[in-house]
Amino acid sequence: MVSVESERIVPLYTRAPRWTLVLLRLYLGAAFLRAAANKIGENWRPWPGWMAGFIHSQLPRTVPFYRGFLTAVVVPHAGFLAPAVACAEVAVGCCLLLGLATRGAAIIGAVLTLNYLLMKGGPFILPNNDPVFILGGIAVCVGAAGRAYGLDAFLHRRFPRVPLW
Amino acid sequence: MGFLLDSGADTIPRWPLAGLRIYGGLVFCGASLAELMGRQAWPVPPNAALDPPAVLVLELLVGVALVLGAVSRAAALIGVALMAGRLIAAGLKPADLVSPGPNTAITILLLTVMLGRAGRVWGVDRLLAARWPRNPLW
Repeated sequence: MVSVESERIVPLYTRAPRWTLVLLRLYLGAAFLRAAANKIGENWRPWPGWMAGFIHSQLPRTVPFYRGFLTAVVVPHAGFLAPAVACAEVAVGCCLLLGLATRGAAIIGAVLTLNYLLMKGGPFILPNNDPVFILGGIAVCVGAAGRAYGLDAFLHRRFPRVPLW
Repeated sequence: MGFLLDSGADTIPRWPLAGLRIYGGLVFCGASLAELMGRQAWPVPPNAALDPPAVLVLELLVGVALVLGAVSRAAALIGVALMAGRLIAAGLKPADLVSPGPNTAITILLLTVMLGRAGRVWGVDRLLAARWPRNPLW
Protein backbone atom coordinates (compact mmCIF):
# COMPACT_ATOMS: atom_id res chain seq x y z
CA MET A 1 0.00 0.00 0.00
CA VAL A 2 2.15 2.81 -1.24
CA SER A 3 1.45 5.80 -3.38
CA VAL A 4 4.01 7.35 -5.66
CA GLU A 5 4.13 11.11 -5.51
CA SER A 6 6.59 12.46 -8.04
CA GLU A 7 9.62 10.34 -7.20
CA ARG A 8 8.96 9.68 -3.54
CA ILE A 9 7.18 6.55 -2.36
CA VAL A 10 5.07 7.30 0.70
CA PRO A 11 3.09 4.76 2.68
CA LEU A 12 -0.64 5.06 2.37
CA TYR A 13 -2.02 5.48 5.85
CA THR A 14 -5.66 5.41 4.94
CA ARG A 15 -5.82 1.79 3.73
CA ALA A 16 -5.21 -1.36 5.73
CA PRO A 17 -4.99 -5.03 4.68
CA ARG A 18 -8.26 -6.90 4.63
CA TRP A 19 -7.07 -9.78 6.81
CA THR A 20 -7.00 -7.45 9.82
CA LEU A 21 -10.79 -7.71 9.99
CA VAL A 22 -10.97 -11.50 9.91
CA LEU A 23 -10.53 -11.96 13.65
CA LEU A 24 -13.36 -9.50 14.28
CA ARG A 25 -15.59 -11.18 11.72
CA LEU A 26 -15.04 -14.65 13.18
CA TYR A 27 -15.64 -13.42 16.71
CA LEU A 28 -18.88 -11.66 15.72
CA GLY A 29 -20.10 -14.82 14.01
CA ALA A 30 -19.29 -17.03 16.97
CA ALA A 31 -20.79 -14.55 19.43
CA PHE A 32 -24.06 -14.34 17.50
CA LEU A 33 -24.28 -18.13 17.48
CA ARG A 34 -23.51 -18.24 21.19
CA ALA A 35 -26.23 -15.67 21.84
CA ALA A 36 -28.66 -17.59 19.64
CA ALA A 37 -27.98 -20.78 21.57
CA ASN A 38 -30.29 -19.51 24.31
CA LYS A 39 -33.15 -19.27 21.85
CA ILE A 40 -33.09 -22.48 19.80
CA GLY A 41 -33.17 -26.18 20.44
CA GLU A 42 -35.07 -26.93 23.58
CA ASN A 43 -35.49 -23.22 24.28
CA TRP A 44 -37.40 -22.65 21.05
CA ARG A 45 -40.87 -22.98 22.60
CA PRO A 46 -40.42 -20.85 25.72
CA TRP A 47 -38.40 -18.20 23.92
CA PRO A 48 -41.31 -15.92 22.83
CA GLY A 49 -42.54 -15.81 26.43
CA TRP A 50 -39.04 -15.12 27.69
CA MET A 51 -38.57 -12.36 25.14
CA ALA A 52 -41.82 -10.65 26.12
CA GLY A 53 -40.90 -10.95 29.79
CA PHE A 54 -37.41 -9.63 29.19
CA ILE A 55 -38.75 -6.65 27.25
CA HIS A 56 -41.15 -5.86 30.08
CA SER A 57 -38.32 -5.96 32.58
CA GLN A 58 -36.23 -3.59 30.49
CA LEU A 59 -39.03 -1.13 29.72
CA PRO A 60 -38.14 1.32 32.52
CA ARG A 61 -34.65 1.69 31.08
CA THR A 62 -35.58 1.75 27.40
CA VAL A 63 -34.69 4.78 25.35
CA PRO A 64 -37.95 6.83 25.41
CA PHE A 65 -38.72 7.02 21.70
CA TYR A 66 -38.18 3.29 21.35
CA ARG A 67 -40.56 2.36 24.14
CA GLY A 68 -43.65 2.99 22.04
CA PHE A 69 -42.35 0.78 19.29
CA LEU A 70 -41.71 -2.02 21.76
CA THR A 71 -45.08 -1.92 23.45
CA ALA A 72 -47.12 -1.34 20.31
CA VAL A 73 -45.37 -3.56 17.78
CA VAL A 74 -42.93 -5.98 19.32
CA VAL A 75 -44.69 -7.35 22.39
CA PRO A 76 -48.08 -7.97 20.72
CA HIS A 77 -46.40 -9.86 17.87
CA ALA A 78 -43.81 -11.63 19.99
CA GLY A 79 -45.08 -14.98 18.77
CA PHE A 80 -43.80 -14.14 15.30
CA LEU A 81 -40.96 -11.77 16.06
CA ALA A 82 -39.21 -13.89 18.68
CA PRO A 83 -38.59 -16.88 16.35
CA ALA A 84 -37.65 -14.39 13.64
CA VAL A 85 -35.01 -12.89 15.92
CA ALA A 86 -33.68 -16.34 16.77
CA CYS A 87 -33.44 -17.32 13.10
CA ALA A 88 -31.82 -14.01 12.21
CA GLU A 89 -29.17 -14.47 14.88
CA VAL A 90 -28.36 -17.98 13.71
CA ALA A 91 -28.23 -16.87 10.08
CA VAL A 92 -26.04 -13.86 10.81
CA GLY A 93 -23.70 -15.98 12.94
CA CYS A 94 -23.30 -18.68 10.32
CA CYS A 95 -22.82 -16.20 7.48
CA LEU A 96 -20.20 -14.23 9.35
CA LEU A 97 -18.30 -17.37 10.32
CA LEU A 98 -18.29 -18.69 6.77
CA GLY A 99 -17.69 -15.31 5.21
CA LEU A 100 -20.83 -15.70 3.11
CA ALA A 101 -22.77 -12.59 2.09
CA THR A 102 -20.76 -10.85 4.78
CA ARG A 103 -21.80 -7.29 4.06
CA GLY A 104 -25.48 -8.14 4.29
CA ALA A 105 -25.05 -10.29 7.38
CA ALA A 106 -22.96 -7.66 9.14
CA ILE A 107 -25.52 -4.93 8.51
CA ILE A 108 -28.38 -7.13 9.66
CA GLY A 109 -26.41 -8.04 12.77
CA ALA A 110 -25.67 -4.39 13.47
CA VAL A 111 -29.35 -3.44 13.13
CA LEU A 112 -30.37 -6.34 15.40
CA THR A 113 -27.87 -5.24 18.02
CA LEU A 114 -29.00 -1.64 17.69
CA ASN A 115 -32.47 -2.80 18.67
CA TYR A 116 -31.07 -4.58 21.72
CA LEU A 117 -29.07 -1.51 22.66
CA LEU A 118 -32.11 0.76 22.45
CA MET A 119 -34.19 -1.72 24.40
CA LYS A 120 -31.69 -1.96 27.23
CA GLY A 121 -31.09 1.80 27.19
CA GLY A 122 -27.76 0.26 27.78
CA PRO A 123 -24.58 2.01 28.91
CA PHE A 124 -23.25 3.65 25.76
CA ILE A 125 -19.80 4.54 27.01
CA LEU A 126 -19.41 2.28 30.02
CA PRO A 127 -18.40 -1.28 29.12
CA ASN A 128 -21.21 -2.81 27.09
CA ASN A 129 -21.01 -5.35 24.32
CA ASP A 130 -23.72 -3.88 22.06
CA PRO A 131 -21.82 -0.86 20.69
CA VAL A 132 -18.85 -3.16 20.01
CA PHE A 133 -21.09 -5.35 17.88
CA ILE A 134 -22.61 -2.39 16.06
CA LEU A 135 -19.31 -0.69 15.29
CA GLY A 136 -17.70 -4.04 14.53
CA GLY A 137 -20.55 -4.88 12.16
CA ILE A 138 -20.11 -1.58 10.37
CA ALA A 139 -16.38 -2.22 10.12
CA VAL A 140 -16.91 -5.73 8.72
CA CYS A 141 -19.47 -4.37 6.24
CA VAL A 142 -17.34 -1.47 5.02
CA GLY A 143 -14.29 -3.68 4.73
CA ALA A 144 -16.14 -6.60 3.13
CA ALA A 145 -14.31 -8.94 5.49
CA GLY A 146 -15.75 -12.04 3.87
CA ARG A 147 -13.47 -11.66 0.91
CA ALA A 148 -10.47 -12.64 3.02
CA TYR A 149 -10.54 -16.29 4.11
CA GLY A 150 -14.22 -16.58 3.37
CA LEU A 151 -16.63 -17.84 0.75
CA ASP A 152 -17.23 -14.28 -0.43
CA ALA A 153 -13.86 -14.44 -2.16
CA PHE A 154 -15.36 -16.77 -4.76
CA LEU A 155 -18.70 -14.98 -4.85
CA HIS A 156 -17.05 -11.64 -5.34
CA ARG A 157 -14.88 -12.90 -8.15
CA ARG A 158 -17.87 -14.40 -9.91
CA PHE A 159 -20.38 -11.59 -9.26
CA PRO A 160 -18.30 -8.51 -8.48
CA ARG A 161 -21.09 -5.95 -8.45
CA VAL A 162 -23.40 -7.47 -5.87
CA PRO A 163 -23.33 -5.35 -2.70
CA LEU A 164 -24.13 -8.27 -0.40
CA TRP A 165 -20.59 -9.61 -0.31
CA MET B 1 -19.24 5.47 -1.05
CA GLY B 2 -16.40 4.16 -3.14
CA PHE B 3 -15.87 1.34 -0.74
CA LEU B 4 -19.02 -0.34 -2.05
CA LEU B 5 -17.54 -0.95 -5.45
CA ASP B 6 -13.83 -1.18 -4.85
CA SER B 7 -11.95 -4.41 -4.75
CA GLY B 8 -8.69 -2.55 -4.48
CA ALA B 9 -6.02 -5.20 -4.04
CA ASP B 10 -7.40 -6.51 -0.78
CA THR B 11 -7.15 -3.30 1.15
CA ILE B 12 -9.87 -1.70 3.18
CA PRO B 13 -10.39 1.86 4.30
CA ARG B 14 -8.97 2.37 7.75
CA TRP B 15 -11.58 4.69 9.21
CA PRO B 16 -13.86 1.94 10.60
CA LEU B 17 -10.90 0.63 12.58
CA ALA B 18 -10.27 4.14 13.85
CA GLY B 19 -13.91 4.33 14.94
CA LEU B 20 -13.48 1.09 16.85
CA ARG B 21 -10.30 2.41 18.42
CA ILE B 22 -11.93 5.67 19.56
CA TYR B 23 -14.89 3.83 21.00
CA GLY B 24 -12.57 1.45 22.89
CA GLY B 25 -10.66 4.42 24.25
CA LEU B 26 -13.88 6.08 25.41
CA VAL B 27 -14.93 2.86 27.15
CA PHE B 28 -11.66 2.67 29.04
CA CYS B 29 -11.81 6.35 29.98
CA GLY B 30 -15.43 6.11 31.10
CA ALA B 31 -14.89 2.93 33.08
CA SER B 32 -11.81 4.22 34.87
CA LEU B 33 -13.45 7.56 35.71
CA ALA B 34 -16.58 5.82 36.93
CA GLU B 35 -14.56 3.53 39.17
CA LEU B 36 -12.48 6.46 40.43
CA MET B 37 -15.75 8.04 41.48
CA GLY B 38 -16.84 4.90 43.23
CA ARG B 39 -19.30 3.33 40.79
CA GLN B 40 -18.81 -0.21 39.55
CA ALA B 41 -18.29 -0.18 35.79
CA TRP B 42 -17.39 -3.68 34.64
CA PRO B 43 -19.74 -6.66 34.77
CA VAL B 44 -18.88 -8.09 38.16
CA PRO B 45 -21.02 -9.17 41.10
CA PRO B 46 -22.47 -6.09 42.78
CA ASN B 47 -20.44 -6.35 45.97
CA ALA B 48 -17.10 -7.05 44.34
CA ALA B 49 -14.22 -4.78 45.25
CA LEU B 50 -13.25 -1.94 42.93
CA ASP B 51 -9.95 -2.15 41.12
CA PRO B 52 -6.91 -0.67 42.87
CA PRO B 53 -6.05 2.93 41.89
CA ALA B 54 -2.93 1.85 39.98
CA VAL B 55 -5.04 -0.23 37.62
CA LEU B 56 -7.51 2.62 37.23
CA VAL B 57 -4.83 5.14 36.34
CA LEU B 58 -3.34 2.72 33.84
CA GLU B 59 -6.78 2.18 32.36
CA LEU B 60 -7.31 5.91 32.03
CA LEU B 61 -3.96 6.36 30.31
CA VAL B 62 -4.74 3.54 27.90
CA GLY B 63 -8.11 5.13 27.17
CA VAL B 64 -6.65 8.55 26.46
CA ALA B 65 -3.94 7.02 24.27
CA LEU B 66 -6.53 5.12 22.25
CA VAL B 67 -8.77 8.13 21.78
CA LEU B 68 -5.87 10.25 20.62
CA GLY B 69 -4.47 7.45 18.50
CA ALA B 70 -1.06 7.83 20.13
CA VAL B 71 1.15 4.75 20.38
CA SER B 72 -2.08 2.88 19.68
CA ARG B 73 -0.65 -0.62 19.31
CA ALA B 74 1.18 -0.45 22.63
CA ALA B 75 -1.87 1.03 24.33
CA ALA B 76 -4.08 -1.69 22.87
CA LEU B 77 -1.64 -4.35 24.07
CA ILE B 78 -1.73 -2.97 27.60
CA GLY B 79 -5.51 -2.87 27.32
CA VAL B 80 -5.55 -6.53 26.31
CA ALA B 81 -3.43 -7.34 29.36
CA LEU B 82 -5.91 -5.48 31.60
CA MET B 83 -8.85 -7.27 30.01
CA ALA B 84 -7.08 -10.62 30.35
CA GLY B 85 -6.73 -9.86 34.05
CA ARG B 86 -10.47 -9.28 34.24
CA LEU B 87 -11.27 -12.44 32.33
CA ILE B 88 -9.02 -14.48 34.59
CA ALA B 89 -10.54 -12.89 37.68
CA ALA B 90 -13.96 -13.89 36.41
CA GLY B 91 -12.80 -17.46 35.95
CA LEU B 92 -11.24 -18.12 32.57
CA LYS B 93 -13.13 -20.73 30.55
CA PRO B 94 -12.73 -21.76 26.91
CA ALA B 95 -16.30 -20.58 26.37
CA ASP B 96 -15.07 -17.07 27.12
CA LEU B 97 -13.47 -16.95 23.69
CA VAL B 98 -16.85 -16.74 21.98
CA SER B 99 -18.89 -15.20 24.76
CA PRO B 100 -20.93 -12.20 23.60
CA GLY B 101 -20.28 -10.43 26.91
CA PRO B 102 -18.47 -7.12 27.31
CA ASN B 103 -15.12 -8.52 28.49
CA THR B 104 -14.49 -10.69 25.46
CA ALA B 105 -15.98 -8.17 23.04
CA ILE B 106 -13.69 -5.37 24.14
CA THR B 107 -10.68 -7.69 24.15
CA ILE B 108 -11.37 -8.64 20.53
CA LEU B 109 -11.88 -4.95 19.69
CA LEU B 110 -8.44 -4.15 21.12
CA LEU B 111 -6.84 -7.05 19.23
CA THR B 112 -8.37 -5.75 16.00
CA VAL B 113 -7.02 -2.28 16.74
CA MET B 114 -3.61 -3.84 17.24
CA LEU B 115 -3.75 -5.87 14.04
CA GLY B 116 -4.97 -3.01 11.92
CA ARG B 117 -2.69 -0.29 13.32
CA ALA B 118 -5.77 1.81 13.82
CA GLY B 119 -3.93 4.86 15.05
CA ARG B 120 -2.76 5.86 11.60
CA VAL B 121 -6.04 7.48 10.70
CA TRP B 122 -7.45 10.30 12.85
CA GLY B 123 -4.61 9.87 15.26
CA VAL B 124 -1.25 11.03 16.48
CA ASP B 125 0.23 7.80 15.15
CA ARG B 126 0.17 9.19 11.63
CA LEU B 127 2.84 11.67 12.63
CA LEU B 128 4.80 8.98 14.47
CA ALA B 129 4.49 6.59 11.54
CA ALA B 130 5.71 9.23 9.13
CA ARG B 131 8.96 9.33 11.01
CA TRP B 132 9.24 5.66 12.11
CA PRO B 133 6.93 3.64 9.84
CA ARG B 134 7.99 0.17 10.92
CA ASN B 135 7.86 0.60 14.65
CA PRO B 136 5.68 -2.10 16.20
CA LEU B 137 4.37 0.23 18.90
CA TRP B 138 2.12 2.24 16.56
